[in-house]
Amino acid sequence: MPSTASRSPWPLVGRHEELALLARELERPASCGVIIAGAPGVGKTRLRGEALARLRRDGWLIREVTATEAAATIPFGPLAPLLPEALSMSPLDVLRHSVRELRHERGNGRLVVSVDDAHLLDAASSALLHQLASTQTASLLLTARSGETLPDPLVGLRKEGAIGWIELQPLSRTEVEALLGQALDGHLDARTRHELSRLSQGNALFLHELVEIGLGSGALAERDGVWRWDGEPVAAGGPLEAIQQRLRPLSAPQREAAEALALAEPLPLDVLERLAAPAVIRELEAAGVISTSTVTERYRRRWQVRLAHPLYAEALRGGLTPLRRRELLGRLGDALEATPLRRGDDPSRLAMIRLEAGQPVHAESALAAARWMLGSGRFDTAAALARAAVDSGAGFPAEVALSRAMTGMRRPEEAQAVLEGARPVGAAQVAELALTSAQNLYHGLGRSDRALEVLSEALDRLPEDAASELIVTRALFELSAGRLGTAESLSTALLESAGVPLAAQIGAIGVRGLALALSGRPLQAVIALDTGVELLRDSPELLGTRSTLLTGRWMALCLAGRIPEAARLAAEVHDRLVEASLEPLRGYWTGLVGWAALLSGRSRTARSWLEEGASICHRYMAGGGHVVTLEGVLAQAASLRGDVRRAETALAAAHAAVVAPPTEVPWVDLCEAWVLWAQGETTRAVEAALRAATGWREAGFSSLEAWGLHDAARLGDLVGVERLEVLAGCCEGDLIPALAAHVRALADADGPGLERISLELERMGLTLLAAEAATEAAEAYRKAGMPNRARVPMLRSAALTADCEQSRSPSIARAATPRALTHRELQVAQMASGGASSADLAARLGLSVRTVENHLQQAYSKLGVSSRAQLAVVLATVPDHVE
Amino acid sequence: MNRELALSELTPAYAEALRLRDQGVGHAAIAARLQLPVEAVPNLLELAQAKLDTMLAMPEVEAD
Repeated sequence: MPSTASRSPWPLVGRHEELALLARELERPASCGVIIAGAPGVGKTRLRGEALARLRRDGWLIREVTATEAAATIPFGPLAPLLPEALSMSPLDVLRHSVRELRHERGNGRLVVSVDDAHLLDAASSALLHQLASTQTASLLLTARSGETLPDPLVGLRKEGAIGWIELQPLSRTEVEALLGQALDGHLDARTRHELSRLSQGNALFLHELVEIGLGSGALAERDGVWRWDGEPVAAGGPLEAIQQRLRPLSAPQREAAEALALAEPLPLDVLERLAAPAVIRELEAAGVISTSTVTERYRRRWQVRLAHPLYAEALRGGLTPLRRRELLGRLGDALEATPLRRGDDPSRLAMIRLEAGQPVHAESALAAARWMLGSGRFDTAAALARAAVDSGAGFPAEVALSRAMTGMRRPEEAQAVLEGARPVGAAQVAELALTSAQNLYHGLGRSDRALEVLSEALDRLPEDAASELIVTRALFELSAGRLGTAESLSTALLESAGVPLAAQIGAIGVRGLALALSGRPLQAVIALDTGVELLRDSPELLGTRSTLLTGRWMALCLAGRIPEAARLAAEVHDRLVEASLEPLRGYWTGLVGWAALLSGRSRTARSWLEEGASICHRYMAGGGHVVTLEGVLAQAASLRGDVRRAETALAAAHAAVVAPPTEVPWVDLCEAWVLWAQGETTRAVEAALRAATGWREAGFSSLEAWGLHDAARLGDLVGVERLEVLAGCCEGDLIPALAAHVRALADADGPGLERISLELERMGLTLLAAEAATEAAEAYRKAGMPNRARVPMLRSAALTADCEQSRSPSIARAATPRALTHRELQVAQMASGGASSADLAARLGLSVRTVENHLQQAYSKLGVSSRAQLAVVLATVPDHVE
Repeated sequence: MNRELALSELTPAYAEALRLRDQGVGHAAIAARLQLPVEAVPNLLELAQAKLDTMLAMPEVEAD
């Protein structure tokens, strides 16, 4: 049995500065809270406890939980004590209700939600914290282990600077010695102080364990009024080994209770009491191995027990053999089952424990838990639970859940095999089987034709009232197959039918809007989609399955030339998906944020968003439109940054992901055009862009055809100018007419026309295109023998290019290359732009005044400027102008 | 206590952060050297400076 000689909590020593900083961080304007990070045992939890005690004294309302590995296996598990009964709700509902309830509890006061070991939080819990913080409902006070990966929403808060970060350091030697003196309430001899300080390395937990070991063995004792360690204070390794050493004397019943907690902490006290005698639990508490607390859940108080420190759980789990672990899990399962289940997530927890122990799982619990895991994107756990539900006789719904989990795990063949063995009963199940099968065939196996056949066959057999979801999916697949008319008529007919469920209505509006936007009617699309956006606003739980509506709106805004609005929409939807933890959809919208950035010319920003988005999508999908789109845009972004190797790999990934060739191949062709340009293959680049335009023409995607023809012109071939003018006449919105006018002005070398187009493109938010048009205007003036007229567009181009994060496109590269400065010209130009006179420059560079002025005139001429002030603007905004 | 002695009494990360800052090293480089997120650096420097000030205000520690 470990010693109990120094059982009372140790005083907090050496953390005065940290507490003061914590208080300042929480009071900082717009602060979302603080994360205390640090190594295990450094004192994060102790510091958090003290900070919370002070906040409580100052009148803050405190809600605190501790995340554990066991609790994090269930979405929202760690935050369960703060949440409404969760199992019957979608993740989005849990978020909404929780925020509302906590806001109600807070009233006009100040609320802090505190989580110990936040690095162990599941995605759903961290999304909730993000929402609490970003809506200013609560301040966060979190601890996290250094070096562990934090969930994305919390990283986001950190990167935005919204949450303060305190990297807690070990105590200094002076602080360790002060702590020892206070903890032992006496004087320590210098050698003992030195040795304990050296061995503990300032780690408070390790120090505590060393002292406990010394007290327990009698090596550390007060002799003649001085605390002294007789012999060498030895503890091999670090805190973990010290804890193992301290736990060694536990009796068998004590160890078993502690091990059960290590597998499933926190446990309700009544559950633990079914595993261990009350006396054993009291002994463990007295020895400081476990701690008990009460939580209020839905107006009831519940006693719960956890280990004193997460490292205790690690030490105990590390010592378990597989059979011992299985046996303990079995006993835990029995204890949980025998205790009245009170929390909504208890059945899921029980199912998980039963599953891990290899025991039979209650079918309904397993199915409910599997669906919950599916909604949170935890496909591997969902698959295990769904399989257990199937084995327990849950039947068709469990088979569908299993198949969906398999699709999510990128094992589409197995998903299909499960569905082929399923036996649906009734029209609703037949429809669900067809839908699940079609989606797996399409997204998982890339068999778009077979997916459509499955839908058609089911639609032939099903009554109208069971068919609406299938019609929406079929319309979407038809659209991807390049049959815009079929997609539009299917969705329009559904919208005109009576009694169509809301979800299907929203889906049909989304497909119809997308079809309108792509066929050159983006303004009608925006109007149509807005009605769906209103419906979706009232039913946010449909966000995960009805995102086509928002994708359509994004596309329509872009094709109408309203790029800033599209960028705002992408950012807003992205944030909602982060909060709702909806994967892999979050990946696609992460990419759309990047695409919007690329349209405005910010290729560096675009690239980082696209890399993240594509990697999330790859985690869940083998191929299909989302992957093709994002990898393609990534290839373009990398090409504009001159990163040919990354552009090539992204293009290859886009190629490999094609599922619906009629619409996806033209997109890949267009992206290939930009990669070829970056490789210096200009002729082939133009061919690829024109091939893309032809493909889209065949599919009836007029807006995209125009985009392809315009890109071909940017790459140097104006052959599509007349077709573009035809398209401009039949496409709505400002974008396509502006693209046509751009190419016409290029073809006519029309300087004033290009200047006008540059302004128009800038107004739309297409900054890189605007910079290109300004550059081309300057070039047209120069070629026409009007160098003075070239200055204004040249300056405009420089200013616009400066907003484009050094993106390189053909016309900007063409304009920059022959006009580049020599090193000497650049040196003179830079010094002159700083205000130095020619005489000063001559003296400093050891040149004649005449030579300096010659260099300066050359620089003026090449950069198209006529004064030192203009020179300063150009040099500040155009980075690459030296040969 | 003189500054160098006080620095040597600090936890190594604090001492190193302050020395790097005094050499004009930026936050990103300090973060890289100490293997921390760059967002952690301002607070780390603030704490290090506060701890140093505490040490400087202390009387010399006598050896046992």
